[in-house]
Amino acid sequence: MFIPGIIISILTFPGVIVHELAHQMFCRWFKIPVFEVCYFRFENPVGYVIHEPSKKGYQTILISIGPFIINTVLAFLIAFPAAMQFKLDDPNFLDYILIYLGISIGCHAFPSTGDAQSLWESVMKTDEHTLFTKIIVAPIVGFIYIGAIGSFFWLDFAYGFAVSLGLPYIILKFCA
Amino acid sequence: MQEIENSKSIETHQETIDLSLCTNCKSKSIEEGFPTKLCADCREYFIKYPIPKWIWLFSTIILLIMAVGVFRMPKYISAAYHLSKAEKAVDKKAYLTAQRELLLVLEKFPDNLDANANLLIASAHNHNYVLSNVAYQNIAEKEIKDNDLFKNIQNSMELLNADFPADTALYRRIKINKDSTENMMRIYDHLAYKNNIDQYIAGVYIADMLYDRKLYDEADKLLSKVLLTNQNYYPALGLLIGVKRNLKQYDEAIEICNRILAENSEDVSVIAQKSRTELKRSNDTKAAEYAAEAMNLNPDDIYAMESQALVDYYANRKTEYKKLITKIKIAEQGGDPIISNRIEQIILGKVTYR
Repeated sequence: MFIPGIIISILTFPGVIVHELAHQMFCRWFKIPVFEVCYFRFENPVGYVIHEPSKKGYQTILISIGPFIINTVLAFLIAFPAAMQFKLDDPNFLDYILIYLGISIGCHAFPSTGDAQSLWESVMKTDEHTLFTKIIVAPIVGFIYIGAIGSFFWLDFAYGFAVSLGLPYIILKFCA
Repeated sequence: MQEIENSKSIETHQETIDLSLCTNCKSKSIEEGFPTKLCADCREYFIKYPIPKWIWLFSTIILLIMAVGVFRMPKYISAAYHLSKAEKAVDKKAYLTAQRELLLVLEKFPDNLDANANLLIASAHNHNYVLSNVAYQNIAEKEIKDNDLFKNIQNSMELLNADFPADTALYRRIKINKDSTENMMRIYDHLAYKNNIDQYIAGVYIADMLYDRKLYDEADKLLSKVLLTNQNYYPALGLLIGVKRNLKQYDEAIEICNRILAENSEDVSVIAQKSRTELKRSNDTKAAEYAAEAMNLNPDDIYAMESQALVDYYANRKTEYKKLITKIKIAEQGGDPIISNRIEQIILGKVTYR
C-alpha cells in the first residue's frame, strides 16, 4: 500500500518535532550556533535545522545522527510502560496514546537523506576532517541511505514498532 | 526533515559593509576561529537559539504522559519481569521455577492469559493438579493465538489426562485382586486390547502393588510392557527407577532419572530418587550432591527431605536427620505416613537399605 510520505509525517508529527529538536539540542550541547529551526510544516522536508558547520568530526556525526539516538531512547522510554500493560493487562486509552507517541517518535529516528547529504558534504568534501573521521562517516552515510530506501518498504515504521513494542520485551527477557 | 549547515547565506552581504563586524548585529567585532562571522553575544544567542513556547508545551505534555506511565510502571515491570523469567524457565523445562514465577505474576494479574497458559504447562509437568485446574479454568474460554504455546498447552493437557483413568472403577477392581498377580495381569491384558490410557494407568497401579510385595522382576516386566506402548509415560518411568534400584541396576535407574529430568529439569522427586540410588550403591558424595540439589529446589518437598534425611543418617548426622523426620511427619499429617515409616524402618534396622 502506497501512502505519500507527507501524510505519514503528518500522522506521526510528534516524531518530526522530536527529530528536529534533537538536531537542535546536539548543536546546543556542542555550542554550534543554530540559525533557523522548522519543527514541522506541511511540505517536504517537513522539518529542518540550519546551523553552522562544526569543525570537529565527531560533532558533525553526532549532530547528524542525534535524532537516531534521542528518538530511539525517547520512543523506548515512552512506550515501555504501555508495552508492559499490553503484555499483562487490557490496555487503556493512556496506553494507546503512549504507544502512538512511542511509534511516532521511533519511526522518525532514522536520519533523513538531507542529513546524510549534509554529513557527506561537511566531512567528505572538505579537508578539515581526518581520514579516520571520513572512514567512520562513509558507512554511516551508507546506512542512512539504506534506511531511506528501506522507509519505502516501511522500515522506519517497523523500527518504531520494534523499539516501542519489541525492545521492552527483549530487554525483560534478557534481564530475566 | 533535515539539518542544513549554513554559513554562506549569512555571509553574502557583509563584504560591502565591514568584514570585522558581526554579520548579525553589525555593531560588535567578530569572534575569530569560526566559519560564521558572529560576535560573542550573537554567537551565544544562536547557540541558545530559542525553543518556541509551543515546543515547551508539547514537551511538557509528553513528559506528563510519560510520568503517569512511569508512575504505574513498577507494578508492571515486576510482573512482566516474573513472566519473562517464567517463560524462559518453561523454555528450559525448569517447571518448578516457572510455576513459582507465574504465581507471582498471577498475584497481580489473575486473568493474564500468558501467565495462566504457562502455569497450566508448568503445573502439568509438576503434576500439580490443583494449580493446573485453576489455570485451565482461567484459559478455557479464551483464544490462544500463539501456535507454539497452544501446542504446548495441548501436550500438557495430554500429560494431565494420562494421570486419570476414564474407567473410574479401575482402581477398585485391581485392589480387590491385589493378592493375585494372575488376576491383576488379566485385568491389564484385557485393557491392553483397548490400548487406551486406562491400560497404562492400570499397568503402573499393578506394578506398584508388585513393588510393595517386593516382586521387582514382575514389576519390571510389566512396566517395560507399559513403556512399550507409551515410552514417556511419567508414572511408569518414576516407578521403574525404584524397581531398577532394588534390582541393583543402578546405572539404568540413573539413566531413567536423566530421561525424566530431560523433560523437567527441576523434578524434585526424581532428583531425590537419584540421590537414593547413589546412596544405595554407597556413592555417598554424589548422593549428598543430589539431595542438596533437591532441597535447594524445594526444601518442603517430602521426597527431598527423605533423601536428605537418609544422606544425613549415613553420614551420622543424628540431629539433622531427626529434625527432617519430624518435618516429614508434620507434612504427612492427614495422610499416610509412608515416607517417615520408610526412613524409620531403615534407621531402626528393620530394613536393610544397602
